[in-house]
Amino acid sequence: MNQCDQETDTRIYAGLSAAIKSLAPVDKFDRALGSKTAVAAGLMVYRNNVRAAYLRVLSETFPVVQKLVGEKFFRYMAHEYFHAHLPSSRLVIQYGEALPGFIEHFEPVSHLPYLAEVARLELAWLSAYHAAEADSLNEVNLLALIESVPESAKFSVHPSVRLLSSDYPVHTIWRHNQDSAAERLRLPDTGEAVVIVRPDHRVLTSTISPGVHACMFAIVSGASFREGLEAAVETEPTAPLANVIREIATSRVITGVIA
Amino acid sequence: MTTKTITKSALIGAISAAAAMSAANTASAADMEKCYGVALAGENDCAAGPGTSCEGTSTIDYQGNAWSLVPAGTCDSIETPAGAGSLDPLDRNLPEA
Amino acid sequence: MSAGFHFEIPALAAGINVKPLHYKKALTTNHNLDFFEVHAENFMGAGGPPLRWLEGFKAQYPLSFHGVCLSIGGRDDLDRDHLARLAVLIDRYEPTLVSEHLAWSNDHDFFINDLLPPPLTETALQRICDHVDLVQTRLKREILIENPSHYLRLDGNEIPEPEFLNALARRTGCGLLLDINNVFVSACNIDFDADDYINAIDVESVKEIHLAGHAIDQFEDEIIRVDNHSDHVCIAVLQLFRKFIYRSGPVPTLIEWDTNVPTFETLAAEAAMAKQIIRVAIEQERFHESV
Repeated sequence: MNQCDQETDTRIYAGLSAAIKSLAPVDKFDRALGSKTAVAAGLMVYRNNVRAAYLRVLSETFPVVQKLVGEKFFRYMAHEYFHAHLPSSRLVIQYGEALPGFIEHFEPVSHLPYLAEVARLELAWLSAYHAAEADSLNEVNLLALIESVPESAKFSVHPSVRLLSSDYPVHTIWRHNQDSAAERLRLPDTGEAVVIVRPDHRVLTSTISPGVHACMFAIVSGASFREGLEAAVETEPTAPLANVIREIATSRVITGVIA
Repeated sequence: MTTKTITKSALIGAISAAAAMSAANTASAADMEKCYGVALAGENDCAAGPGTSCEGTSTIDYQGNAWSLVPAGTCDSIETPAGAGSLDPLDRNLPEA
Repeated sequence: MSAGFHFEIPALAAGINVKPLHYKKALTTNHNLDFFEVHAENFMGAGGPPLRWLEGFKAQYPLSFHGVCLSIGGRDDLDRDHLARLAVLIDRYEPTLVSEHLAWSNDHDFFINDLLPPPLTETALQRICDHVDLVQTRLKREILIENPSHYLRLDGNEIPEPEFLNALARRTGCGLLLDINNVFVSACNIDFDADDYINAIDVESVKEIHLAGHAIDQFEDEIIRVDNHSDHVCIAVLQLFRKFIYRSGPVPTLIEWDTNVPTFETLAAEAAMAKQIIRVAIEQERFHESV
């Protein structure tokens, strides 16, 4: 390689990357010609472009988190997140994956302990939205199937199924903030379990009881239907079995039996 | 799972009961929340952004606006059992430049 | 090179870069658009609504896949996994056109959703040719390479950009996607003559044209044009477009509008206007030949 070219290469690639990554604004670049102002303006366009693009991605991935903290604060948090987690994937749909963990340790929102959980719910929603296609069984077909297979049978679940169990009423908060005119919300002092699934073109979310969550979690992890129900009873001894079964059957999380 | 807490007859009975409930109450699907609106799910783009005047792209910019460091969205309207509301801006530590 | 597409795009054609909010109208209403372009990266999930929509487009219209982060202009090796994802998408949706940028978006462990300018040196040209060869071999088809927008006048460039692009097309057999707004924005920002640039491009390599609007910004006493695809195509860009078409003949032309996205009808009207300019340019060219 031509030495002069190599030098130009390194300084352009490394220099522009550094100027974009830098926390403090950079207004000098030794590989750019022109007035001081022209160079500063050009670098600012690149820096702002990248930051604005990722702010947009985060606000589209976490609309409820943004609504909860307000646009101004969200912008600040996104900026801090950008510098703590520089993008490492080509696909922007993966960019927010570390935001819930970041929020957990972000001191300015330490008085909003449910915020990280809401972010987890929004991430789960997005990953369900982009998950692979499959046909899930409706309740009639699923109940017929359960009756017709051996007790030890294991079930396949829809690729979009996401389960969450939170110490906070995360689904109630999320739903409350879907409406543009949100009224005051007095939160119950209980956690919530949530199932998310996209059986067709729509992402469905619903709150489920701890017993149903335990049952679904067991089935998703490869347990038989009976083992799932045993997990439900263990977690929630008072749960009526028929109700648990019906909730599983109407949830559309199961696609069939694993051969 | 080592102990079987559910007998075979209880299992069969519960499945039939669930099937009967399903037949009696088809509105159960309404329990599921449908998605709200068209998803704007963060897309890759090839257009340039806001130019040279993008508010708050450096930590220094935020220090001049301490109020922007405090959450001020619908979280104000949510009351947790432990009590709620945002903290006083004066209590906030400004990040280092 | 063979391409597995099932729709041709006629030379006299106009389309738009279609956004999610317009998917439904694009597929269910009558309009004058000949083809649709999407960013390939937005369809790289495993399934879900984006891919369901894309099936709908594939069934009704010719498609153009515009890649935004293959980083062909980078100094690192191409990402084989990303290329594999693109190959799967192309096999499944059979786009008529596939394009990428003379730009980089990743350097070592740094990834960004932006299109940064590569150095224009002989060394860089050889490396970028190798990248394009690899992509075309892997995808088993021709790709088009688009000229980027510039905000900095880079030192050390040895080859003017039109020559660089012509050489890239000549050596690899790739086509060019000429973004005339990018030429104009860059000409204003880093001081070159946009007419000279347009005239220097080999017309036979250009298989698609992009038109878009931009914003005018100011930093201290410095005017800077920002390629944010936020407006109607400006008059100066339309004049450059007409001059190029006069020389090249009709080329499939696409309207990009990504910021402050207007109604579907406004986009369709913008595309219709571009198509009308092509028609008039061809007529004028014929007239001048006949006298």
